[in-house]
Amino acid sequence: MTFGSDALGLPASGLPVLRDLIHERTGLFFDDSRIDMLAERVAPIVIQRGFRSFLDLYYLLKYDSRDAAHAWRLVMDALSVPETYFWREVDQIRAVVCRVVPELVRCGANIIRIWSAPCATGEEPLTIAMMLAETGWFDRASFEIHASDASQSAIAKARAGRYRERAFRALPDSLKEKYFVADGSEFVPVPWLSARVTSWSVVNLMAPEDVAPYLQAPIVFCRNAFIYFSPRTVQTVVATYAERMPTPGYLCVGASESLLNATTVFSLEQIDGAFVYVKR
Amino acid sequence: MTSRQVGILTTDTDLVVTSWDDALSAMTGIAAEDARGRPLDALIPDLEERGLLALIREPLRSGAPQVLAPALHRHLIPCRSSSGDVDRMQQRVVIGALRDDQRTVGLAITIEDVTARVERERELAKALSDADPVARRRAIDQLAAAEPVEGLGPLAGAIADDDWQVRRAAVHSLARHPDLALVEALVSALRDSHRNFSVLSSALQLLTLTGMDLTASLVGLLNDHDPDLRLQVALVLGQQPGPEAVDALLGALDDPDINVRFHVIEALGKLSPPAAVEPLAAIAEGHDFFLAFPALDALARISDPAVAPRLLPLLDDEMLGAQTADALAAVGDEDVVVPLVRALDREGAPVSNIVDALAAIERRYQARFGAGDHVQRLVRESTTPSAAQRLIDVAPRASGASLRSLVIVLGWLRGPAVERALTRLLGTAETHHESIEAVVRFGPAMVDRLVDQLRENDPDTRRAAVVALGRIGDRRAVPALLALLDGDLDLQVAIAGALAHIGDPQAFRPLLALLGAEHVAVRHAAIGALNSIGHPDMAAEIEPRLESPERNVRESAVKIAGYFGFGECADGLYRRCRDEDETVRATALEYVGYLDDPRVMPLLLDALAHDTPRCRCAAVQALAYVDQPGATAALLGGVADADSWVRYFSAISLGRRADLSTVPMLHQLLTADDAQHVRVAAADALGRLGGEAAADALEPFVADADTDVAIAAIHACGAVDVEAVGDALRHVLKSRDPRRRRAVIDALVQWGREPAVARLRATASTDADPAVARVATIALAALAAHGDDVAKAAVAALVDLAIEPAHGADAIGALARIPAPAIPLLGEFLESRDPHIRRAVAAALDGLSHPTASAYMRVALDDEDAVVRQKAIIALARVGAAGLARKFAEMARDDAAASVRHTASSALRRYGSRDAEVSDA
Repeated sequence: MTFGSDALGLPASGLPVLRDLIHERTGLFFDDSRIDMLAERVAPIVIQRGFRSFLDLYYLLKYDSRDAAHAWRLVMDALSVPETYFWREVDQIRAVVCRVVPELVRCGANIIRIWSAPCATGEEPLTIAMMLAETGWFDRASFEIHASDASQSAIAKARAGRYRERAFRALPDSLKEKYFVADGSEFVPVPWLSARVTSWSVVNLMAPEDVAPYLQAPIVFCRNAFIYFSPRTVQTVVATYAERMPTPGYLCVGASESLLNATTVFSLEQIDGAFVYVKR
Repeated sequence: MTSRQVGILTTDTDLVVTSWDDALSAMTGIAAEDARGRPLDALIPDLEERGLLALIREPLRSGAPQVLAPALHRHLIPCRSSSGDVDRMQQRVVIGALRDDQRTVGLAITIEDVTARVERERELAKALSDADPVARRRAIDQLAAAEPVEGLGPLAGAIADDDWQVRRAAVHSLARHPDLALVEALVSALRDSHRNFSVLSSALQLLTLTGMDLTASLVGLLNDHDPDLRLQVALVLGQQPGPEAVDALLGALDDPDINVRFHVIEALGKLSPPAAVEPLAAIAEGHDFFLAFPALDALARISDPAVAPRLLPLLDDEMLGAQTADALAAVGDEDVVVPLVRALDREGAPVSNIVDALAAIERRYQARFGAGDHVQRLVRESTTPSAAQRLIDVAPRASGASLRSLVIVLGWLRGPAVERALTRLLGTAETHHESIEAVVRFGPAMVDRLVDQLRENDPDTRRAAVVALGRIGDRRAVPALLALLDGDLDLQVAIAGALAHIGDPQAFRPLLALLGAEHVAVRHAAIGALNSIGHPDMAAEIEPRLESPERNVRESAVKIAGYFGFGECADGLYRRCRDEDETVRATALEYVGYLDDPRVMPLLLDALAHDTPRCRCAAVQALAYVDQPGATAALLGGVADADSWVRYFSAISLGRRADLSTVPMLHQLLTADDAQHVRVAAADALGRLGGEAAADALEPFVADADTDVAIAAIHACGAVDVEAVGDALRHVLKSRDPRRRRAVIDALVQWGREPAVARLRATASTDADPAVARVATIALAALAAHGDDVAKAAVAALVDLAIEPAHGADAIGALARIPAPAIPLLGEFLESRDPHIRRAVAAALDGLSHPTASAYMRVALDDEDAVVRQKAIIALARVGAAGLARKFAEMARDDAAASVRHTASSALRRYGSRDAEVSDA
């Protein structure tokens, strides 16, 4: 009981089928202990649309050929997890940049593609770009950094590139001064850093046709996404990665995530103290 | 892919060829007319010399087919191979008896040219020795794609490969053909190569993948002289359910090698046989850490509560205390609660494990008996201040499930130190829910501390404190909550929710200020809170806001005015039905339906004719409640609207109006509308209308291709109150879709007639999906609330299910939910001759915690079955039934069964014994 959907006066009927539909289409899963959170997040969409129940929203998402796409965007925005920050779990990024990138260069890769998904409001791809810049790799090889998220609103914010103080809580001050300029109470990345991110896109990790182009990248950062997925969804998504990523392929997941039960194609390797799933 | 070349010949019992097919002619160069009528040994002169004649005759004698393996015999008939080599081909020959009715009349012999396959297999076998593991894996893939010429082929050797990926590929390839050859290979691998880790792990993986039963082949190996082999065999037997494996493992508990015994205990834990309880308890009591540890783990898995008292002394064992607490979490009942709490007083006590155990027992009591508070009270009354401090001290180091248990248990205690500890934990994300529940249990005493938390920097702490203050509902919190109202969006929604729960008029004006908030969630939460407070100035404050220049304020004001139906706001409300803003207009149109005023109908009709789809939706929703002529006709117009959502809400409103004349139109919508959600709404409306015509309309759609439509039709059928829909629902119980079957279960409960019982009984027993079976079982308990005959049949069905091993626990759980009037129907089964039924009934009555159930339990104290008597004692002692001390004392002294005497003694101790005895007397 959190006074979320309860305070908004919506009956809980219809919530389980809505939960299952969102799971089926997006992979995001809200078990019974978190279904209140789902209700809180999507209740404003229900009310704004003039509906009286979650069931109405379920039918809109499932059957309305005219408005469903827009409604799905609203739902994804509501369910996105914007809470992230620069230099988060940076040891893994450092290990990839210092150990994996040299290996790929040695193997003759002309362009090294890196995909960051979900990238939320852009902190992770910009962190990767900063790390590549700090280690001098931009002068020695060509890179494409692709960033995507399922939330259109998150991608719009990432493109706009305006960050509040809270996003810098782990970034050393020297790097903040080097790569960001203040604009009022916010900070924006210096233009050449922003330009290092090749593309910002809205991508549903559950849609194979969406993810296929990005899985040409030998380095994929897919951190703190699987914790919101059901085990079944994790299996499905990882199977697509396993099938489509090149060999060698490096899949980085969050520190609290484990794919050991989800895949036998990727093996877990410790690279400079960081764990990375590797397809060889 | 190589094409298979197979020739067939037949002979009579004298081995004279009776048929010779074209393939054989092509393979051997011998024409059919030259072969037929000649004895086989004349056609193949060296048969006798090669020792094949006896093998060929064997099926004539014994009937058992013979296989001539190419590796051993190379060929039956010498001839050129399919690959064109001049060498004689390699043949796989199968010789079987040819029977006519009951008589053997000759032989059928198939000859397959396997030369190419053997050569290919040889090449691939060579590749399996390649230094490159990728080449070896490729060879395995190719071997797996072809059927081996003999046995498992070269794949069997690959399970010992040095490379794990090669081994894995071999294991997965072999697992596709779980046959006798594989069993033999596995047993051989275990017997001969169990020291080779690669072979061993591959063999164990294969067992898991194939699920083959090797018990009979392995039991004998438990007596092998090699302890390593016995150890590995014990491990494998732990994966082989069945009495033979259990008996063998119980026998091996005396193995001279301690490592073997360790693995035998682990294996018994996996199989969890009740027969292992006694020997495992004895091992645990031996205090030998190496063996007691797995024994406690195994006992926890077996979950026999009778063993709990024997484990309690082990709580004091420094090495075994934690494991003992874990075991008690699984097997313990209320009798172990106080000893567990007392163990907290000991220096070095395994605090986290004890806390987990207490939380687990409380959860179980709450789930089974609704008696979690009993366990909480026992903990509260027996926890010393030093024990409470130990719990508090552990909190900073705990995380995850242990921290959740700790917060739960702290929530049962009292005292300032506990209050401080819980408030400190409020912002911890992983115990958010438990912390709030815990502090709420303290009630108003926590208000000051929680108000202090509102000043914390951490937003999660502030939010948790807001929620807790709302739940406690103490007005002293209101000023502090109001002071935070200009905080972030999440907090505003939570504060409005809390203020709604508290309902204090002080919050009235600050909440009014939120009616124009930008975010819809904040506005809605504020509206909810204002409606909950119901301030006397509300109408006066809302009326001018209906004319506010801010559209959000007007929309909020409309919702409040419409909700209360303030007369002084009616004019403003009607004006808002023509508001320039679509959202405000739609909201006003939706809410005017509640007003009894002649102006309503023209406004709604006008909106239906000229307004936007959203406003038309609002208008048809309002028409559900308008008590004026023409409302139904307007809705019938709505179901023809171009916008699917107008049709959807029109159908819903028609269902609410309950006008039977609209059945044909709803039937038409259900049949032909393009939009599935409109069809769903039509089905739902027909269910609300009810009656024969609605039932007729609905029945064909219970099997609709669209799942949502079908489920809506199924639910509606349950609601129409028509006898005939039972058959249509019965058919859907055969659906492959478990969602549809679950919908039928709901519908049958609502339908509520006696045939529903048999259908639910069958589903509970036979449905392939355990979740559906469980829902059907619970549904039977719901039917026990219906009329006499239905309730009687439902209880009988549940009792019947309760003695099925696979469904007993669910059925007993469901019986423990039947309503009080149905308890006598259950109690009657205590007169059954079948002790299994009486035990199940006693277990169910134990869960009911009702005076009527206790009355039956008193009768059960004299049951001829010891288990029933024991259950009755436990249940009556738990509810504290009066006047039983003398009876318990008699049973503790005289009962024929030791288990009953022991239970009665425990009950007497809990009863307070002597005082009760005196008052009894």
